[in-house]
Amino acid sequence: MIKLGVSLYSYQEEYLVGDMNLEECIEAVSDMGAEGIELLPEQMIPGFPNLSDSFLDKWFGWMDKYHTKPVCIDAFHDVNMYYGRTITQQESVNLYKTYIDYAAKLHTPVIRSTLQLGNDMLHPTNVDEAHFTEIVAYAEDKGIKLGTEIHAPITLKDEAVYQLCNYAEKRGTKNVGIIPDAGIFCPEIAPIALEREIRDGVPRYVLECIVKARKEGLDPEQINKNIYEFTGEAKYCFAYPPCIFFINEDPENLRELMPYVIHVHGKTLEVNEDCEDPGTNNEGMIKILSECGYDGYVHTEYEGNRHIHDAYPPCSVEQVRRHHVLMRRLLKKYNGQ
Amino acid sequence: MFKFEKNILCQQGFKNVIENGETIGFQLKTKVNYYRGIVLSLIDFLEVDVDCEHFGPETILFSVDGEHFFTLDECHRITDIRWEYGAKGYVRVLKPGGLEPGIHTVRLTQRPNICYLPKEIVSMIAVKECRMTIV
Repeated sequence: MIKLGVSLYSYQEEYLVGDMNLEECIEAVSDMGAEGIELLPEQMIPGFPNLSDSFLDKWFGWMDKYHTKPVCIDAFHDVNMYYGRTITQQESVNLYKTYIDYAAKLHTPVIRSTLQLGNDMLHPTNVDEAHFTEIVAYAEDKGIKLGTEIHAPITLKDEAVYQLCNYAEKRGTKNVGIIPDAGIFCPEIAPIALEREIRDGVPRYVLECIVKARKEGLDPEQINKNIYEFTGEAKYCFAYPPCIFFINEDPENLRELMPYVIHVHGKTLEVNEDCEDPGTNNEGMIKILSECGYDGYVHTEYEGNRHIHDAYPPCSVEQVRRHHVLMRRLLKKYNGQ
Repeated sequence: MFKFEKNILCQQGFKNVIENGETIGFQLKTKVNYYRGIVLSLIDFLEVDVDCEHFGPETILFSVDGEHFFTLDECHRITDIRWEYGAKGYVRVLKPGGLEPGIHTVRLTQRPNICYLPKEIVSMIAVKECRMTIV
């Protein structure tokens, strides 16, 4: 059974400007008949890492009132929090123990982590195996699952993903795994992201060049070289963000990793009035999840607000609703739900 | 890159600061250039430009409550005070005499020290400019 929920991250803009408070974010999930609640403690619960008894009373009161369930908190890894040096491995362990305690208090069985095993330059937030094991043992003891988000620029084929799944296999633990983000299944760069760049002053032909070169499989460095040769402007050589944040991975790559999938992020930047998101291969993802008998949550994570808020007010509630219509349609088609 | 600059410079809170009858500078309010709150040590830097005058980090004090102000060097050592998401932080610029009454072009530059990817690839810097009036 695939269950639906929402990462309250989706409502960040409305929360920021004071249009929705935490309770209303939870209510918005309940209004759709959805169940799973995920949030970033450091976004919507002031005072991290402290949780007062009065807050916890309210939290569980809301879960009862709105028939929702705490499913996941999103943890971070502020490796620069001590100015002038990177945090030590032991400080990383202590930080993650704090998140695990926090999740246990909120009764969220899952933590979306950003922990990586290994020493890839692109991922400066790595933890070595001995320290990772200390975190995992603590999570096992508290009954919390740690899922590293597989989010662009990481892909399912990355060495980091293999390391993590291999670790879970060797340890024989169900408390470590991955959380794929649908943003890795992007056939297109979302049009709203391109339009935003144009409003910010990037010539349309530069973006068209990036879009075309990305489709042809050119790497961002080569694309930047081409742009520079053509325009003579270093400021337009920014192919990295659109190319590395919009990855077009084949959802089929998920199949062999399914034993390690703890949770899923249904990332979306825009869902149109037909309740379709052409920029993301949701269909391919739900098909694989269904065929593999995934028994867990898919949480909508709407992230379009920041790409449009300079031009018109985002309506995150509406975007999340449309995404749920899309998800239900796909679950009906592929999972008989 | 993160496109949060729209909300970093608040209209409310822009004024001269008078202490013991003396105008010591001016102040504005800012929201964090990120999608979650951070501890003060993660404020990499703040800069303000008003009209053609530049105010670097050494002239700036920061506060989350409007009462306890810290230099940016002090902020870098503070890991137990949080600047919450959605909360307005206070940026106080030391400028004896403050700003002249009238309309000013105010530009705020803010960078949290968040580590995702190397800075050349993803910069967390945000700049926001507004026309704002001192009465």
